Amino acid sequence: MEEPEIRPNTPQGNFKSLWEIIDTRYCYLSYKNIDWDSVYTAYKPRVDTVSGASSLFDLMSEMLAMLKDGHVNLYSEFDRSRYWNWYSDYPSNFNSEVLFKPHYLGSHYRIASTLRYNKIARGKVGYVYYGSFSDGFSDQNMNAIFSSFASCEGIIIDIRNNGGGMLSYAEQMASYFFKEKTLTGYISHKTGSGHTDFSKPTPLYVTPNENVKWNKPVIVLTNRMSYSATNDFANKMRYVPQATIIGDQTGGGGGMPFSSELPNGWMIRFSSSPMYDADMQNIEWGIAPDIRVSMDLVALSKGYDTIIERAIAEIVK
Amino acid sequence: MISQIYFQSGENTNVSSFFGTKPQRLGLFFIFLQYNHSLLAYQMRKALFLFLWIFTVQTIGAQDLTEKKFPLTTSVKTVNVGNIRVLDPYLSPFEYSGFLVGYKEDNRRFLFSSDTTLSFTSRKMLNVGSADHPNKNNSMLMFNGNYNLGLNYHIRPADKLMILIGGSWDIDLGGKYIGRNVNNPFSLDLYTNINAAAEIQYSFNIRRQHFRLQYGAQTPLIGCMFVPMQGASYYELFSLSNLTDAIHLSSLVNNRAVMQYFHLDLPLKYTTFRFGVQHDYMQYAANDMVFHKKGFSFSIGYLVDLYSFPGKRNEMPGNFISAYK
Repeated sequence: MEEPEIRPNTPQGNFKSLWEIIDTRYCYLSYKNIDWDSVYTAYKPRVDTVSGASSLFDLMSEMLAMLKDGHVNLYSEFDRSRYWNWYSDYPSNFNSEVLFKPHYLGSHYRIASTLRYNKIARGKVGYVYYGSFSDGFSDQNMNAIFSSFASCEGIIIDIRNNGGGMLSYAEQMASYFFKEKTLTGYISHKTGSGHTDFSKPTPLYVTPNENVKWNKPVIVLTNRMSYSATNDFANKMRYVPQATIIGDQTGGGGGMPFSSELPNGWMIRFSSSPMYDADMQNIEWGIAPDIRVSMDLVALSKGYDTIIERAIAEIVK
Repeated sequence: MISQIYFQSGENTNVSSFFGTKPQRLGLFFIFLQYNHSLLAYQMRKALFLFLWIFTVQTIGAQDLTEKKFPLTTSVKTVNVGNIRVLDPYLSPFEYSGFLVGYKEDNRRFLFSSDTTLSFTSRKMLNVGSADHPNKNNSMLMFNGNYNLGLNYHIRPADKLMILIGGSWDIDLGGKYIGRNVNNPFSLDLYTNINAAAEIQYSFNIRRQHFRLQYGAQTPLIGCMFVPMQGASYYELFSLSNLTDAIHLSSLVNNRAVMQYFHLDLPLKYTTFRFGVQHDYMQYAANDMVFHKKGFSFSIGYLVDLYSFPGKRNEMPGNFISAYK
């Protein structure tokens, strides 16, 4: 039993360690056609030119940006590297102020756990804003929301600017809308250091919630900042017959991130377990909406969210 | 039902002094005979016969108590503190080092009252600790509990020298936690093994002070262990029940470990204290990962001899035997 070689805590040692972690454990090098060996060749000489921890950190961050992955971050005691182009290169398609106009949530909306909800469109549509899949909720919360929307013709689940969180909450939220156990995707993980060494995909099913159900139309609103677990939720909702996804493509983030460390103690987060849809297609680049709608800035200036308005029109035909 | 538990603190307490002796019982018998010689009527002879029968049975019973051996359970309770070095590639590629504190309870008794060559042992152990990244800017919390049952064969090649050879079965449950990790913050340690064990024990006196030294070692031979797949999250392992590659047969090929200890038992007044050092080494591999745990600890504790028996007896037997003798 031979233990792996540990790199020294030097600039070159930290660089080599980081490169090897990505080379052996990052799950999208092959899928994204990234020549990681070329990256090593290009960046290794530059390591000797940097002076100080912050310069080394910046160089490593630049290298990691080649992965184009929002789940890849380098953490030090003074900074956290990030790749935000997955949403910053696109229109935001979201405005938090307009949500609180009287014809949407208004000021007298209710909050169940962290879910903000109210009836809109003269009481014909139920609207729920869910801002983070890190925030838990219960069946009782959802039952209360659905009960208050009993007279509505449909419901809007707004997950725009929801950056993700727990996959279990994504599955729980989706379970209220399914009528039968449904295959919604797969997950696998790296099994070796090769770029294509993956385990046999494990199927992901959504089982309908036995006690709380919503069988009327449901509209899911998405934008580029719908990421990670939110991306997974959007993927699951594609398989709900009465569901429609409206807005912009989600930001993606289909690889479940893991953590590792460098000799100097910096932490690296990276995508480790790729997730797929039911047709074994990667969801790393996001979920396309059924109806693509962009925020109209003129309408926004008048206090209207054109994505919500399109969703209302879809329910109240 | 256990109605009485005999408690002996260490070995320097004379167990038999707690109970009535045979001459005292014979004295009572003669007093009773003199009283009955003045009443030799037929009915009284009958009563005397009955009494003698009962007394005879009781005396035989008392002799049984005297001759029968009663195996004591020697229980040793110790606390320990020491250093630990841990490598868990599921959490980090680096060896973390830190400290460990723990509690251990060892019990040993002869398996049969008529046989002083075979003893049964049980051990419960609980440890908690904390360790740091080599660069001291991240930490790991850890814990583990171990339960061990063993059998030993006692060999006495010389006076005051005893060698124990045997085996044990143990099960260990623990975990390590790095709080800042995402989706892999916790690594479960779970294994069970069949172990080989040996111990050498030597007793001696210095200036009428009794001492006992022990050196022992234990190593796993075969078992099974849980080792996560390196890239798999616990969501995939447990929520999706994908444990196919997580349970492994362990043997000397992929699991090498040895636990060694050195004890000094020192009776002081009514208590026997134990001072010890222990070295632990464990290295195991599965799923393309190599793990290790190395530690060295000091311990201090005390011994008690326990005996339990059912029923409400007025007398306790005096002929105890200890698996440490």
